[in-house]
Amino acid sequence: MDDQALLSVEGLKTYFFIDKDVYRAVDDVSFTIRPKRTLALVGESGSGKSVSASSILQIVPDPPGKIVAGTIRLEGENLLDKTENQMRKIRGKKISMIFQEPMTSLNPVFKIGKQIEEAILLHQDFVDASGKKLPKREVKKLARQQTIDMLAAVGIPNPAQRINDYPHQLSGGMRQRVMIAMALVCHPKLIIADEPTSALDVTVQAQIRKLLRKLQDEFDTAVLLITHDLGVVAENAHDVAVMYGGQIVEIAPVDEIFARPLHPYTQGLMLSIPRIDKDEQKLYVIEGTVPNPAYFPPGCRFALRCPKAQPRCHAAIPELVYLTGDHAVRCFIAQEKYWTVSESLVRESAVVEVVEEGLDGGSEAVEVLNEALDGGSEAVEVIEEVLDV
Amino acid sequence: MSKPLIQVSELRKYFNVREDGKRATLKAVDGVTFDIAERETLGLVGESGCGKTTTGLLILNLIKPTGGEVLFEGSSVFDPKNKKNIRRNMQIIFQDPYASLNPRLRVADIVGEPLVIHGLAKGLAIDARVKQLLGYVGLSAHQANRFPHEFSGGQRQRIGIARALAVEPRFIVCDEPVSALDVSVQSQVLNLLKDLQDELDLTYLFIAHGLNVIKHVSDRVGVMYLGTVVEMANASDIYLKPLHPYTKALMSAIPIPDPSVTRERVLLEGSVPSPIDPPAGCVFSARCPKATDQCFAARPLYHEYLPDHWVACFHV
Repeated sequence: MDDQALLSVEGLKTYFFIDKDVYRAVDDVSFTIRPKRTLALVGESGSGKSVSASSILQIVPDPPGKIVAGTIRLEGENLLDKTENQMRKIRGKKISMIFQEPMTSLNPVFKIGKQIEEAILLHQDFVDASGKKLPKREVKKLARQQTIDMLAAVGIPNPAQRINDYPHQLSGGMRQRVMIAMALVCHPKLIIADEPTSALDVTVQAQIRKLLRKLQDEFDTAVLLITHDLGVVAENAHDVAVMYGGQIVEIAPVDEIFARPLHPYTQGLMLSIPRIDKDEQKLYVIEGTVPNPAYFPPGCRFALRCPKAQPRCHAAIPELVYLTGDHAVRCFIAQEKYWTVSESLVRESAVVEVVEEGLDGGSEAVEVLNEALDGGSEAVEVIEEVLDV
Repeated sequence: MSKPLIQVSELRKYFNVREDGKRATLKAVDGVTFDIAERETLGLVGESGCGKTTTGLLILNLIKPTGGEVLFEGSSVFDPKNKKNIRRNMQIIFQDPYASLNPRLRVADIVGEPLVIHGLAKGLAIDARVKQLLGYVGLSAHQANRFPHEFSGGQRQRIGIARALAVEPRFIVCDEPVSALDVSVQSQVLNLLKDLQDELDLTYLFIAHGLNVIKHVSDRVGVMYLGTVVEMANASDIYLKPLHPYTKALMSAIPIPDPSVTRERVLLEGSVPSPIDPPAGCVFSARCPKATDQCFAARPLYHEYLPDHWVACFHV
């Protein structure tokens, strides 16, 4: 769909089969990430954003989880066709992941230096100028040096000593820096960052976000950022995909989605967060709660909570349709409204053309104008505008 | 400002801990002073470990203070004679709606228990009152016979609120009541708390780390750092005209959900130091971009720099 895409996910469905129920955690998700860009996957808990990310790396626990449909292409190759051994070579090398909880995702019994070196030794070939493998001792030395350089790059003071620390000796912010170092050390094309700052203190969060942006520039990495915080999205993302009930309900560039959110859920989400730069007495409320993925309603997943819902919304699931080149929405009402408006825009521009032609035409102009005026009051308005009356 | 309902003065709580095998003192709350007026919401913000929750627990006499005093309508909450009165008038809503409700009790019993303990209702009157309380928080009467696990996070938080309201308290400590909830559910609970305050003339101490939430609910806001309040002012002043360098950094660390807004950034180095052996001088000196020799040597006085705007910093 997009030949520039680094990663393109198409029609992904990941279901969990528990007892007799089928939990449709990810249900027809498609998106693309271009090189060096950040796509934010936004949604509330249970919307399917983390499962989408785990599906890309195929680390969904199976059973009960299963990717039942779709393709995940990394630089054109479908990752779902790969064997587990081939996937091992991709994880950490081409795609790496930063988890939310740095304490539980680092191994508590190994020194942090060792944990970073592991990735280097696994994924990098150390050869001399003639292509011969270097002796083991040499390799270890080089790996150690890379580790120290990487820790310095993520802002850890005294990295040469710190490599001998265990995770518990570091603060939360420092641990997250170690995670980032580990993720970046093999220069991956894509980093999946799952709520990378949510577990940290506010002032430390700001540091880590800044560090991630800086390193993304330096290493030319694309980022799939998973978050529930629209503030983080506004600050870090190029493109935004909003998830609800296992589906993407809206996708657009960041400026566009904040200026013109089209889906009622996106609109509600943006109105319901208290902001420090605004005064509001009452918060907007999206009534009800997120539906259970085992018992989705037959129609639009948001219909039960949607203030604009019509009978057709309860009957069928709308498609995710691109209205402009890069803004897609999964909502019957938003799509229809957009098309009506754009149709009338097309009609107006046709009239303008006629009028302009008419004015150039001299004597014929009046005739053409009269014809144009048959277009009704709308046309008159357009003509008046053109003539600057 | 009307007459204070709660007066906190020089409140202190030290914990004895062991660090590297040696005895040490962890100063969780170290000399906190403020008033809360009737029907007011005082917000307390700060990063983890700054002592905001401990302050809330101390005010309710749920843990014993090392020093200082808390007065409720002029009488000490630490006086054993006042215990029953204090429990009736001062309640708490907890952060985690999963851990704070007994999983083996039905909602009717959870909400009704305080009524029984305080002898506020008997027999059928309890059921009637429970129904009324559930109505207040937007739950329906038929849900009274269910167990907590049958409810979503937002609904559980409503049950916790109903339980706190059961004894008709005048003061409620809200300890991170919405942090565990999803964004769309957060706004439901925040609006509910505000409505209840108007209806029942409640006074809140609202503890949270989310600055946007605090600003939305609070009349006045206190910013805590390492066991002390470094700045306190009305909600709009503290956001528009922060004086303390820590408050400024905290404000600018919050990402605003609008890509068209650009702001000046004050980015702090490092993280919050350990409350064991805090710095001798100003608590914030180690991370402060403006720190001078004076800041490392002595602790600045917490004083009223502008009317109703208190701050502890040498540089304002």
